[in-house]
Amino acid sequence: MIVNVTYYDGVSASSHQGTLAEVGDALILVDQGAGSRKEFFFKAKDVEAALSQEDYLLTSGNFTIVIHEDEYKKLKISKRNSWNLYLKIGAAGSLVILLLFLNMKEIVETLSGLVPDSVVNSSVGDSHTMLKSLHCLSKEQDAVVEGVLLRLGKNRDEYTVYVIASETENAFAMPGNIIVFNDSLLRGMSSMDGFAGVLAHEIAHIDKNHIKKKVVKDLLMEAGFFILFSHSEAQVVLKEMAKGNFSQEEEREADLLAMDNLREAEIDSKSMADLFTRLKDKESSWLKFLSTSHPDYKDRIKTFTRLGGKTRHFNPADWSLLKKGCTGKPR
Amino acid sequence: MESSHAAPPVSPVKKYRFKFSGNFFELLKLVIKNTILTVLTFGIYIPYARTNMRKYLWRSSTFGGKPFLFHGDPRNLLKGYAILFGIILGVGVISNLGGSLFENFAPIRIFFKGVPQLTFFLLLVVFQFRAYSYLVNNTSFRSVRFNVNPAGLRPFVLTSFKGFFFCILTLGLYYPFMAHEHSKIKWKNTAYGSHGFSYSGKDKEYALAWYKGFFLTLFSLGLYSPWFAVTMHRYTVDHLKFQGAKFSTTVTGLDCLFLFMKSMLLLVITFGLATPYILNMNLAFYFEHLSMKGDLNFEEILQSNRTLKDDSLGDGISDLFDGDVA
Repeated sequence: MIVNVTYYDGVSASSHQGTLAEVGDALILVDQGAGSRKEFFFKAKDVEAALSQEDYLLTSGNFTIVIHEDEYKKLKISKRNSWNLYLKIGAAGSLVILLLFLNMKEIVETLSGLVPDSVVNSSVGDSHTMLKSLHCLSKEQDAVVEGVLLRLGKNRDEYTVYVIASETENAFAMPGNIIVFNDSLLRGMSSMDGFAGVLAHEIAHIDKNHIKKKVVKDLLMEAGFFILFSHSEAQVVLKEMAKGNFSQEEEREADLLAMDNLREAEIDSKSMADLFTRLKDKESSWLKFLSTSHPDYKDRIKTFTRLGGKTRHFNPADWSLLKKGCTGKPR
Repeated sequence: MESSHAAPPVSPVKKYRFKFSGNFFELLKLVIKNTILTVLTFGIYIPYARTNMRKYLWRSSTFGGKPFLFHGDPRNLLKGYAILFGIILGVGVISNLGGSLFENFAPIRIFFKGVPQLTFFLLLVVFQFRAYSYLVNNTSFRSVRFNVNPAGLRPFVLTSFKGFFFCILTLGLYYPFMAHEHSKIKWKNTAYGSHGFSYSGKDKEYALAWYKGFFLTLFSLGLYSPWFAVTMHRYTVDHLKFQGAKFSTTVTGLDCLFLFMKSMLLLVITFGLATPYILNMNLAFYFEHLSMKGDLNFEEILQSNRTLKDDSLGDGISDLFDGDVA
């Protein structure tokens, strides 16, 4: 098959006319213009073809051959395609991804074991300094908190609890076995049992090494979404949705461990159920499904709804003192 | 007997149009293929994806009906990313080690903590030029390559350092001078084959236009920004020549505003997933308004014999700072 083409030889920008023929696995370009015959040989595998408007551009080295789409389709090289290779890569890659996905928990556990604690605890000193300056409980209130830790069977020297002034009802664990309560959460609780429940939940995060695992998961998420959507603003939204889903498993684990802790310490978990009922009623955002790091409140209420069991109450005077929230001056 | 002298016929000024004729469905197929293969290869396919995207964008861009071509090799890009990763890792290790070793010596500790910032500034400055070189050196038109003179790197870096210093001293007022200087260096050192571009813009004129645009944008709380962008774009285009032909653009601030609004709306509605389509749309817009008037003699343009250094590391850095075309 011989077709007419325009070509550029890479010596100058001027165009030339010639004919292109396929011979076996090679292409031969012949230019019989200007009284002299020139022939150029190309191996078909070295030629890259791409469509530009209605023409195909065949490039090899410095040569560019322009051939009309209809003419190009008459050539054998137009029939070659790399889809077989893509299918093989696709099949192999899908298998690997499936295996990874099914073993994600073990992978995160292994990677967490490899990440040194110093990576996660590098800013603990700074955190203590900052939180100490914001901590707003009096010494008497601190003593009550220590009493709750002891009741939960925890070594009070192992964990540091800070209470800071904030209108957002929240509590969280940080590297360095630090637990932070916002005082609005404290003031919104109905009893000391609720405070003990939240404390047990945060302690469970620390004991189960969730913080280091979160660091590893966040790194994997950042890398994964950067690879997928590096130049797209969709990265931000989709990453938050995925991160949220990954956190839920750890929250469930912390809830279950906290529940066990409360049961052993003979603390009534009903306050926790009441707390989640109150928070559930407060929640109004219809977009919450997009990014939520905690399990559904219904599940959490169910977890903490105790069925019988012995309970011992805390000293009401202690609760009256602690419930006041920030009374001490921030140090 | 009277003699009459007829005026010689004036040959019409030739006009060469730029055009972007990317096909959305072809782009969509490419994006899907790039995404799937990137996921399946855990990111190793990224350089191939970026190269494929550039090849698509370049060959969809035509001048006088003929397409541009991109010749970058993704394997070199992969090498560039690996080197870049090594640099980042090395800098991180040095910074942390130094910071720990000299914990009790505040000045030295601060120096080591500042090493990453210093390194990234230096990389940004050096590789801004080299990233530009990478894209230009791998672009051809009618089989003749564009090329950048590597001697332009030194003045570019010196301008950056000088500019950074003066920007601090003048609280940013020096910025347009630095930006224009960068532009001049790039154009002065860019050639198509054996013929260079010529740029006749003046620092003072550019800066005055910039100040006007900047302050109008500020006082209009951003509303003037499309006109600002168009003014600066027009200034560069109007002062650019190649052989006997001048560049020109017909883009207006209002066109730019509508384009911006359309792009933002699409971006928001699709959570950014329409980015490739928006890129297509923006490129088509600017190309449709760009043209050259005058005589071009392609037969005079020869392939340059300048040895072009493959600088995929520059592209890797450019990607890090997200300052790339595609």
